[in-house]
Amino acid sequence: MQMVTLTADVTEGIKEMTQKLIKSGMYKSQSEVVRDAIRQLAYRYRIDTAPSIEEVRKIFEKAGKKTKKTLSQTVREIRDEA
Amino acid sequence: MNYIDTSSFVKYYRYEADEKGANKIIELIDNAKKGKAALISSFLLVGECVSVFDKWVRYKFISSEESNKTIKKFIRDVQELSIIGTLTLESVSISTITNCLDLITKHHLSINDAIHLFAALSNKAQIDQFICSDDNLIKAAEKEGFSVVNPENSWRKT
Repeated sequence: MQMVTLTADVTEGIKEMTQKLIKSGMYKSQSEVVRDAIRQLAYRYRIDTAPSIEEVRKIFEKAGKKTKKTLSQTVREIRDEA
Repeated sequence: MNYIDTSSFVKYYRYEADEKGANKIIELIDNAKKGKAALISSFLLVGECVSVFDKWVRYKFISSEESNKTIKKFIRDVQELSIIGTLTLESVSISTITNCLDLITKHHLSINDAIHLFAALSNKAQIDQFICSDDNLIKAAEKEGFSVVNPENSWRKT
């Protein structure tokens, strides 16, 4: 996944808390702390991070230009491999 | 209540032009999201759907990033339907597999087919239609007395 840089001003207290979280071994970096904090905020405020159904159907519409295979046929393949 | 197997459920993620029967499944699942239709399946559906999306990555039809988006949306849909209470997923246990052995040899099914059929048979009294797009499973479900509907054909008994 492509990463972008987000810059934020924080208080000394927030910086110390971030360092404690890394020292505890729960997180490897400040970036990981920030990513998880934002994910938890999105969950708390019920912000839907999943793509829309239209976005997903467009993905498969684009794939349909490469193959005539259907997802139902792939289910059969998975079952035959099992 | 209708039983839906993975071969039909996956059609929700495509347009009719790309996947025959998609419109019927879109209508069905959208109705379930509005509380107007009740569906039941095996929890195996979750694993099978993710396997199918991943298989398309292996085929290089979609990228890993596109597959991750699709899986995220699929999981959200299953959560949504489960919370509303219009999708019941039958658990898969040791007892399920044991009970499937007879179905495998009786109908010459793969274990996945048998798990779906067993989940449906366990709830037979409540199931109006068995919605499926897989010929092997359709034949076995018909032999077990289900009213089978293939969305690729029409909403009538196959």
